Amino acid sequence: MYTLYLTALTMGFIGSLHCVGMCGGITVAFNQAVHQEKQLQLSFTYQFFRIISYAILGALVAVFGALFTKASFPVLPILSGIFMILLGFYLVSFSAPLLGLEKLGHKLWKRVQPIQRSFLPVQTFSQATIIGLLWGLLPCGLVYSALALAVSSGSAIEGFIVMLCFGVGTLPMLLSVGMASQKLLSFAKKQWVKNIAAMIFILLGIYYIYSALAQDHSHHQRNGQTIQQQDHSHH
Amino acid sequence: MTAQEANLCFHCHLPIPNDFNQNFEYQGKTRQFCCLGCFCIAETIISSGLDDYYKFRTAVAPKADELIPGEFKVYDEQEVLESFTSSSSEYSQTIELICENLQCSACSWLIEKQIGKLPAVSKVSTNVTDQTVYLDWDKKKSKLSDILLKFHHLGYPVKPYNPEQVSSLHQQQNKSWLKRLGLAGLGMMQVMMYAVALYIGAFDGIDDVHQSFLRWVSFLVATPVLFYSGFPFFSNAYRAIKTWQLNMDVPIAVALSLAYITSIWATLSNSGEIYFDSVTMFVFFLLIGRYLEYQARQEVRKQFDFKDSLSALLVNRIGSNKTIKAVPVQKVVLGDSLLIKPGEPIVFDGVISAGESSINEAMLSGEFMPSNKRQGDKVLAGSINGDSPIEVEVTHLKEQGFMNNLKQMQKKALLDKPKITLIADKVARYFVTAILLLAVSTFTFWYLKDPSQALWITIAVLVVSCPCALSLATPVALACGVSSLNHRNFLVQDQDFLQKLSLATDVILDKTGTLTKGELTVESISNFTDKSNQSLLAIIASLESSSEHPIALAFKGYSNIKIQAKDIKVYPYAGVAGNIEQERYWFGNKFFISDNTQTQECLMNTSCLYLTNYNSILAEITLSDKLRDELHNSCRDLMKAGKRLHLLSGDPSGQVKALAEDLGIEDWRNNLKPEEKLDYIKSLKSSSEMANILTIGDGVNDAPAMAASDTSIAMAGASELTKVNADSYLLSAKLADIQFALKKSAQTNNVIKQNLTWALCYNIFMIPFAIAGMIPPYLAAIGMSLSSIVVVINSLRLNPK
Repeated sequence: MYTLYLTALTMGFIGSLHCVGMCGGITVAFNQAVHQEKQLQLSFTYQFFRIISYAILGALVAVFGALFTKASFPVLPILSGIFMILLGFYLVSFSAPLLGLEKLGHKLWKRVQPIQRSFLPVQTFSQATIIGLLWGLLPCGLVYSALALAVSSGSAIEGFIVMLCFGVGTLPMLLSVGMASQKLLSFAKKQWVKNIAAMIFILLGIYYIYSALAQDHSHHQRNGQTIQQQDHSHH
Repeated sequence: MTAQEANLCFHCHLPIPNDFNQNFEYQGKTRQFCCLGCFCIAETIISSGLDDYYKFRTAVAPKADELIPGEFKVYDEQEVLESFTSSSSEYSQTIELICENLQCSACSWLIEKQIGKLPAVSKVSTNVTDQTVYLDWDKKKSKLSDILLKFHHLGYPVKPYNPEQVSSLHQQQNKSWLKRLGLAGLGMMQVMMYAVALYIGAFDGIDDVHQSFLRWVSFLVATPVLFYSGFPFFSNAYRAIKTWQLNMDVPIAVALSLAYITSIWATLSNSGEIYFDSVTMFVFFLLIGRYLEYQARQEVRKQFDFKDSLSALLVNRIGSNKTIKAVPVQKVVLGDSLLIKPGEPIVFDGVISAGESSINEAMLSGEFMPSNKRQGDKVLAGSINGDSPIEVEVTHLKEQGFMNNLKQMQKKALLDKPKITLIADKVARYFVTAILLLAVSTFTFWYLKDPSQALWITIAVLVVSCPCALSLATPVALACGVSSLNHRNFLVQDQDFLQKLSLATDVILDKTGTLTKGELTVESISNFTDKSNQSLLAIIASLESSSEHPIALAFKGYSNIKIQAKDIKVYPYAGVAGNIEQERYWFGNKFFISDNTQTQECLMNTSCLYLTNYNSILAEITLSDKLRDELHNSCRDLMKAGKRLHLLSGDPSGQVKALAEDLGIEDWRNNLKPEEKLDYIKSLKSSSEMANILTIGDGVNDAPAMAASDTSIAMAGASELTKVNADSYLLSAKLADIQFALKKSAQTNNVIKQNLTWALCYNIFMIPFAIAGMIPPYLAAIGMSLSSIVVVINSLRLNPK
């Protein structure tokens, strides 16, 4: 099971290279109205609830995924693998497949945006809370890939934790934005950094699909060994 | 650091992927984005007024710009604005908008309430029938694009009205209705088949694998039915919830979603019951109801179009050799001389070049008293010529403006009428709130008592209490009633007409053109001169040549090109006078002649018409007007039905009395001017609270009477002014059809009552059983569909056989 958490954490950490420019700006833009000391506190509030919103989404998709646990074929782990590979391609600007999902997400976002707008600019903690919670709905290929991972986690609590890990993974990069944004940006822009990140995801994806299939195979042979145990044995 | 650099994201400055293209205009430049996330954030930041962030970054001169879709901004340009709008005063502008989503009176209520709240909007009225919105706004206070944007946010995208767009829009809508219906019908049949197999299987024992397979297939078929065919219900419900105005679609959408989701659950977990058959059946029958309603609206709209083509305007142009020729308005050029007959609308602004008349400018100024205008005075497009023919030299071409004006007059008059159907929707709103509360309490109760049952029972309650039969009750019956009238060439302009018609207690009849065919012929002529009968008739023909009155038409065939009358003056409902070869002639009834000339009154009687010069009678002419077929039977039927008949005529002759006695009508008046008819109706109304008046007539002099009465029917060939006021048009000109319409109206009201009673009883009766958990959801769905079918079948009885 820890594999899942670790994968999610890695995904968040490496993937956030991509969003540092995007999400980094938000805090700056939204906190304009308040003085600097409070800005930092608001940023933390907002970031915390952004992660909570991911976790809630994770719990929801995991409930849906749990319906398939009795399926005879490991659909969900393979799905997670495929999404990871797609995310890899996404990072090196071959974004078409995930873009389709983002477009769906955009439609949802259009409904959310007006609500969110009424809480801007952020001046109080309750505003920061709501903005953070709603931010989880922003169309983002990275989040969708992480959710694909959470779907296969098996239960609501597991899904919640997986997405929590993912969110924590994104934290270092995003919190450091305020201080070293230029350096980080130029680092994130470097093609080789992206290529390596993409490579990691694609390899992770292939490994996931492989192990899921192997699991299925061994499941049939050994008759009854669970996924979790199998995962443990790899570590 | 500037973001304009090629291929960098405006928001995050990362490179933009080649296959990605998402941008918007900000501060006059196209900004590109690397991903939808950045796009959304930038949109939010800018639209929240936080774009200082970008200014600070990019140091571009600050100027906040609102995010208006580009197409709306076009409407702020002065020229574009002028082509769509009309201004009633310096700042106030009127525009007609077409709105696709405007589908029910709840929608119109919402739009009128929400848009009407805007400070710049002085009046907004909607017409569900042809999906248009009239908007009066102050262009100083707000740009049109801002108001259109507000419509957009409400979920009702609008466009300025354009007739071609409307008809293509309706074609599209019809197609999509048929597609939705077709899919739902096919899907329903398939899923029902699987359901039958499953039910039989449940009794006889079925393989788990087969059962699971059938369930999955049902799921696959039901999904597109729900999401494509059932889309209108969800979108309506969504709009309703978004604005906190509950409508019937809310419980429908909730029930559909619950049934669908629980069925998916059952399919996935291979337990419980599936309700895909209920879902598809539900969608299909509801769609049928909606489609019928839509069709009914289309019928009414077609009548509007038909009327437009009826009123396609012809004007009489006076040629160089004084010949008069009817030409379409489009052919008229500046400087043309037009002959405007009494009662005709003036289509162009111009100057009177000959003649003198009273001009009614009510359409333009709201002033009901006509003003007298003579040679050299200006006349305005949109006013109506009163009593005498005039020649007008065209000074301004603006036929478009006038036609629109006329149409807007008709429609506005309709919009201002109270709407009976809206009441049903208001009731439904409370009903819906009650149902939702009931469903929640049922769920809570059962969840505490027996959690495994709670969901199913709640679904059953929602489905059983679904007021779709209730919501179908009135519109379907009206649609069927109207369509059966259409088959008799009865055009109904006002939807309430059918409901109100049978309430009529008093029927006001006009004589000429209503009871009679309105085609007068010369029955006899007594000649007191040495001229030939033919030449006397030709003199009359030339005097009457500029009149539209039925009497004038009787002489049309006798006109002679050599005899031309000048300085013609028409005295409405009395006579005409004019000069022929330096001699002045008068033609008219006894009173007219004795008022205007020195002839001996004792020689004349009231039932004839006389041609005189100043001193002596030249000819006595008897005209006859053929009575309409079946007149006696029709009147007898009306009286048998308990209607009190009144014969009001402008005709001063004794024919009115004779006809009234012949028909057995006790209340009759002759020699009535339009305002006297109006007074008669007003006194009739004030004499009894129960009085409900139906006016049947034609001709200019009936227009005010029709406007004042509860319902009105115009016979075929009614002139322009009448059309503005009548609720319906009887093109067949058969009086028997009026009796038919009255019967139909009574029938329709009966059917509506039956439908409402049935639907309410069904709902109220079944809800307790559902709450008690005695009705499984599938039975509830069958019952609900059946109750809708009962309503539809009952209404179909109104259709022509």
